[in-house]
Amino acid sequence: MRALIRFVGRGPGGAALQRDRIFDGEVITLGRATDQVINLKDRRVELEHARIVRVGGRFLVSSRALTGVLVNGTVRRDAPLAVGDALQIGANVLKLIAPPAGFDLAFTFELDNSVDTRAVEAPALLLTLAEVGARMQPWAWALSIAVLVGALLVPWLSSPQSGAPLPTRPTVLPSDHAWQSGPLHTAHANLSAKCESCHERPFARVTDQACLTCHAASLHRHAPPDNRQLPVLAMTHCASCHREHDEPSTLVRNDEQVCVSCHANPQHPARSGPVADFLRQHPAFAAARIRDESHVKFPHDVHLNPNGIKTTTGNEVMTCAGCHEPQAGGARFQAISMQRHCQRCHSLSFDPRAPERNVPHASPEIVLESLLEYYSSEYLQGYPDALNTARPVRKVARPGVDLSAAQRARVLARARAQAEITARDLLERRACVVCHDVQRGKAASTWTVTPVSLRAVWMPKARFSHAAHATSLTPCKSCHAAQKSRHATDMLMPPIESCRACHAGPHSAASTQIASSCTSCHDFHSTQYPLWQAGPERAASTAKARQR
Amino acid sequence: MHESLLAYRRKRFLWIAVALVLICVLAYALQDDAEPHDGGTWLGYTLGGIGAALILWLAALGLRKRSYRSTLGSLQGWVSAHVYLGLALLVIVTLHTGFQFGWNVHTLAYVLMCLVIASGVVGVVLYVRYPRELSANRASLTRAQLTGQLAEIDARSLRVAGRLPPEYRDLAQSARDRTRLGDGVLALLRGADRSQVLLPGAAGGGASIVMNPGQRAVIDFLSERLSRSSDGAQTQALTELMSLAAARRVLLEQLRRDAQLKAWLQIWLYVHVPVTFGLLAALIAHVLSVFLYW
Repeated sequence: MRALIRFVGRGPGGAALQRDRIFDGEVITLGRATDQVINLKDRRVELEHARIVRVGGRFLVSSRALTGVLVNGTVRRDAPLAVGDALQIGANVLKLIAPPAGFDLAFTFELDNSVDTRAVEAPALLLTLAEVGARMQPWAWALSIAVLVGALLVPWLSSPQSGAPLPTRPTVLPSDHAWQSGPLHTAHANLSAKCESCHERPFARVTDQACLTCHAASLHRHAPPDNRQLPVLAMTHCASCHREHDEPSTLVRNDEQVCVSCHANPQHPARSGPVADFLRQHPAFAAARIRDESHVKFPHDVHLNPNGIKTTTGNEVMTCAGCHEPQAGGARFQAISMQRHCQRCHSLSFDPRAPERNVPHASPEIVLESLLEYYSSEYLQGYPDALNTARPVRKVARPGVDLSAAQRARVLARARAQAEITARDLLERRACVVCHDVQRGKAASTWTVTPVSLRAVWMPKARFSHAAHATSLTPCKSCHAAQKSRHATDMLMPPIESCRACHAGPHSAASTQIASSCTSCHDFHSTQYPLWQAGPERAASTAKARQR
Repeated sequence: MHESLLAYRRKRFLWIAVALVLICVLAYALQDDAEPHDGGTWLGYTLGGIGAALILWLAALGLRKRSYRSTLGSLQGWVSAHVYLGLALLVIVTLHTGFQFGWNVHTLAYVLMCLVIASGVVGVVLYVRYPRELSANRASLTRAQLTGQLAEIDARSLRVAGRLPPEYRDLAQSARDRTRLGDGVLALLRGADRSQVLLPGAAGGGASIVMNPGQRAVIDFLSERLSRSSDGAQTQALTELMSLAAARRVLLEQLRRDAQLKAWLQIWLYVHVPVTFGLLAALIAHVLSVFLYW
């Protein structure tokens, strides 16, 4: 559309002044902003106050401004315009006049002097951030309130300790999970949604009772309640050693201080002496001082002869692993068994004519009993020739011939005599005595064999995994001097120096050594001192201990 | 003799900050190796305590700045210490974290602190660079003097235009009214000129609003009219009007550059200050939550 805008005013000296401006465009915008077609310099006018558009053949004025437009004296938001209408915005008056030829629209524009013109000013220059509307305070308020609400208030309200917990915990909304300084150990994964199971009361440390809620039953192995209680340890809490929410996630503090804080100056120095560092200050292994009391005769050197050992099938080179078979998991070894490990060579057969017959690997009484059964059966079936020959001859008894009572007694007496001879031979000369400590008893044909007690664990207070140490660089003999051991009483457990070849304390370890703290090998007081009350079980076991 | 806040008293606070950092790093390095070096150890609590005290003291600069009657050290000394100890804070608190981070309120506090320190570093860089440029640009005039000159040029332009046909008065008026300076935060920072002007159309043509950056549209229009002017008095007035427009252009550039530099000197504070308040809130949440779930 083409519009004629006629500015009417007073020039200097009060003379009437009139200027025409021609506008070509679709929309006539009116407002205080400088990009408006008609720039109204009046602070009461909004930046984009109103607009005049053509719809079909008619003209419409519309305004979204708060104060609207006065059309012929009434406030309007949308109004059609006709020649003769007067629009007023602030102190500015627009009057529609009949458009001259070539124009679609024409209006006069003048200032209404009756309206207060003090509000009409040139726009001020905005030269600072504050002047263009940048404010710090709203941001400061918004941020600090958002942080306090999101990081403190909502998490607190999500905790059951607040009374009525908000259900934000399993969601992405803020909850007391946001307070975790680190992840829970996977062993406690079932507690990850229940902070209050350990953090029972606000502003109170985690109590031992909170741990015992779950761990009371399993505590006995860890700290048996029927042992003496050291006063110094009574000050210790579960949380003194067991730290959660650490990174990397761990259940037990693995720093030296956890042990050394007491053991550098132990209350009973005679028991262990001061301990501070595996390399610099650690007592020698007790296993090196004790004697082997297994009561078995076993020369490792003979069995491990690199040239082999004589067997029924020729020479055979034996290895450690031939007898010491690892347990599942590889930490320790399965028990040595006569049947599986020895008997292939150390046969318990006794009758050259029946080499497959063995006496059981059992007590002397049972050995004698089984021999008696054997010979009785043989002799009874072999009668009467057996009585007449030096050695019993196996013969089938003639059918239909029964022995008389006197004959039976003679045969059985002969069988008993033979059984006793063979038993003595086995026990005292050929078989049992090779490995066992056998003594003849006071009564005839009685023996005692000192029971064998093979130790499964030589260092009960230390943790050691053979599987973890089984490398080509560390064969068995690098720690165990078995190839030179002539007697079973030789102590084949390695001295502390063997371990120190690779292991040292975290502070003393050279770059080529493995830094090993106390907890690398030791559990806490696994058989020594109780720390914690284990509920009713504790009371019962201490009562029992007192009775003893 | 002017002394930079960085060089205040022979960098006294730099050495204090360096000593503090060295002590903390040494204590951290000598800590038992196997223990996680986080805020839960005795050293962690100590570093956290030092960090929290530093944060509170650094934030108190806002109070010291406003208390003109304070005799608690000079403000320049405070700012110098604020800069160096603020940088030391980053090291001390990083040691306090034990390099353990996660999606939690503790790391939130750390991140907010890093934001505050980073914006502070930006502020120091700007303070070192811009004040010299600012006074060079203003040529020892105050801002009020500059705007006064502008008003004078505007008034003279209107008077000169009054000697010419009405469209020139419109032009002068419009160039003045539609000059934009400080057109929002971004425009201020970029020094953008989004001025407009309502140019009279050719004979019989309608007037149109055109962009007028650097008053170029006005100057081009006037020079075009000047080239076609044959009337002596009109030529005289047009020449005058044009030189006024050129002067106006220079003055506006000067003002715009001044406003731009000033805005850059302040804008970092719009991060630094609000985030400081966020940090204080996060510090409260951090300390309270640690002891709520001890």
